[in-house]
Amino acid sequence: MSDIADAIGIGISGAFGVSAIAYCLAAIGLNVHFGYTGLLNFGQAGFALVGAYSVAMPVRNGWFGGSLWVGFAALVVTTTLFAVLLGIPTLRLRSDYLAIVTIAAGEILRLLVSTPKWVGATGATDGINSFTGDFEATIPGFIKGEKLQIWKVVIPDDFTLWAIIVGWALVALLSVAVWSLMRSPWRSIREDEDAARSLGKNVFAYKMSSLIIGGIIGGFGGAVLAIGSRNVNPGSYQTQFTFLCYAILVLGGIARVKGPVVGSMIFWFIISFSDAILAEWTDGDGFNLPTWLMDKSNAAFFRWIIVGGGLALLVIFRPQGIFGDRKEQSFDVR
Amino acid sequence: VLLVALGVLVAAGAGTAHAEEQELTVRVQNIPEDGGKKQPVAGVDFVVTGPDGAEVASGVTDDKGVAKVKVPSDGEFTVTIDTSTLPEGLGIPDDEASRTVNVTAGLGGNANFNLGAAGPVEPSKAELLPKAIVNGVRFGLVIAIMSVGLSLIYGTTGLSNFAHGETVTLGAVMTWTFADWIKVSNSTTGFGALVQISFAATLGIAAAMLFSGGLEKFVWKPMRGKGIGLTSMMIVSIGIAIAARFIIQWRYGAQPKSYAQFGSQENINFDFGPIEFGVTPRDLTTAGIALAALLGVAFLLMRTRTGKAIRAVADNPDLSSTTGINTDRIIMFVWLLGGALAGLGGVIFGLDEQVQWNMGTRLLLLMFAAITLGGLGRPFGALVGSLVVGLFVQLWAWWFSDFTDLKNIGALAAMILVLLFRPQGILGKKERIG
Repeated sequence: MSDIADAIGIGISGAFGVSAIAYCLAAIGLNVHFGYTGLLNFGQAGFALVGAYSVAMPVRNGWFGGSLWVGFAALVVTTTLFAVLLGIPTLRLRSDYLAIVTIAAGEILRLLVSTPKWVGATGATDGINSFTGDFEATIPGFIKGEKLQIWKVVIPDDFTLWAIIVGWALVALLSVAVWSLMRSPWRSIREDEDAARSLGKNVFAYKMSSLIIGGIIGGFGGAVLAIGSRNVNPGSYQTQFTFLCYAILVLGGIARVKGPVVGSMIFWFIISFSDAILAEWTDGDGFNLPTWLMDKSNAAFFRWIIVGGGLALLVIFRPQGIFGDRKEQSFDVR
Repeated sequence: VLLVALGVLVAAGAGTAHAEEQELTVRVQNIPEDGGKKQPVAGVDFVVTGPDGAEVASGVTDDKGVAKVKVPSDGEFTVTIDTSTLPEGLGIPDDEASRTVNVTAGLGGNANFNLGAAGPVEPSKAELLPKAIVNGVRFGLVIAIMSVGLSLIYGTTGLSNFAHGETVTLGAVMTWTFADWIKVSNSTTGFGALVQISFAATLGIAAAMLFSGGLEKFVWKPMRGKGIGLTSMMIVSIGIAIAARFIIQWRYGAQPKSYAQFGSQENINFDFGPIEFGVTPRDLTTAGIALAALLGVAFLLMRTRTGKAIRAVADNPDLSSTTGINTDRIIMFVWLLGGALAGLGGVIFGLDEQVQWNMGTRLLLLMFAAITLGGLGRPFGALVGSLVVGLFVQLWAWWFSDFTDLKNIGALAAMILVLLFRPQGILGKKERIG
């Protein structure tokens, strides 16, 4: 039984942890694109990558004084630029073109930062490690002793505590911001683009504004993942990243303000819990799954089978997600 | 000599100075391949550069193959020999012609260069071009058999099927597994190996068809029946793709595997005057099979009743069902055909390169690029698009030989550019797509 209690503790840490915040932000951005405006963006990983490298590269290379705050300013500029570049060729086309171009653009960026040619600036496949050192020194100490533990939920150090508090504050702030923008004509474009156009709305401009705003929020997601985990690795921003954001969105309910938040917390609880329990059941100690079924190396990626199967089943049987509104769920965007 | 003497004097006089001049010894020698005595090499020019890249000294080796130069301080210096001054028949790999030495105060530093027999002259870019084009066409044909299926599925159902990559992987992985089970041994070669792989490939392709057709029967057809939209179906296909990919990894393992029995083959050389290239029998056979499969699909689409029906359904499903075409049967046929082609593509790609649990996923984006380039939903567009993608990838690797890890970018960027200027794709119908 204590196996399960431990795993629940790890699951709760996961639900509130840095990954949950980062994916939540990326999913909020995707909600603006897909949920409110009906843009089929499959390149949220690209926006997150731009955000992450925007905060990490100035620190690593000492650009503009090498401060983390410079990186946040750079993030807004770079993600906007990326959105505009993506939007110009695709926003006038059918939605599946946007999907393919955004997925391709995300992969292009990932290949560019992974190539050893520019290892000096990007760190290539190793990424940029422990770039937060200088910044961490400025975080006030709060935790006495070496870690903070509430029941079985462990927060290892002050910096992680800071990242979690600031991260969720950012989630709250951006959720409210998105909520206040929801009355904009984005949703009329989603419902009927031609009708919106015939009423004199500049559909292209509204789509572009949606792509930019959702992209910036996605960039913040990448930045939080980079800072909170203290490193940037191109492997974190594969197309899988985008698909997980969709899973989170579907789980929490598409086109709902709290959808990404609830979705991300549930998603990361499930992932962390299942990882922990499977690791516990394959460690050769106490209860164990038969080895023909699963061993240590298999347990590490079993989460993806749960995620993929869960995403498919959820869309088929409960497309509005756990708290979604069936009327609002707007999958069909072409 | 005067300068060196002066240098020594200065060094002696300014013994307490912060940056003290040090001696660096450069030695160039030839180590014969037969293991004979080392021979000094005279008359080799070299330059010494400091950490900032500025030249601080240069020299020529003497009869003993040795040159001593002064560097302004201790620290790290880079010695680069001028390979054009090496005697005929001797050479050194590019990455060894330059080395960084640590010069320590008082002891100086040593840089030794060991030459060997000159390697074969690197073929020029122009000489490599025919090979790059052949590789591009071969790769294009492989992408084409996979993406024709993807395009037919898109054409008849409107679904961008993200699980198509896993159909490819499944065909390749099952073929490898069956070949491994029935193998007499990995040393089987020639005709025996061919029979073996054909038998295994038949089973592997059947598995891919079963996967593709099974999804149609148990997922896509019921979803269409419930009136669930295409975007939902696309996201379901992503979920299925992720789950299937990791189930394959779970059962098959993460290690890439290759067909050793076709591993090392002699090139068959083709010589058309100035254009010369070599292809292994394996690559020639797989390209031939891919071409035959594509011609078969073209024949099926253009000349048979089923093909006509497929084109009719792709054009307008409602209209074609009122004319008596059994739309569901045609769609099922397309899924089976798409599965078979994807499986065959997987087998061929596995033979050409390696069989790995994520091979299909890595190819999926190129397939999408191909069908978008050619015009979404047009099977012949998929063929043209695939050849463009294959050539772009291989020509990128040929032209930017320092950036081969980025070769997929060429194809993806080409797709984005084509969309900018010709959004309907190369062969697409001009219609309103906005």
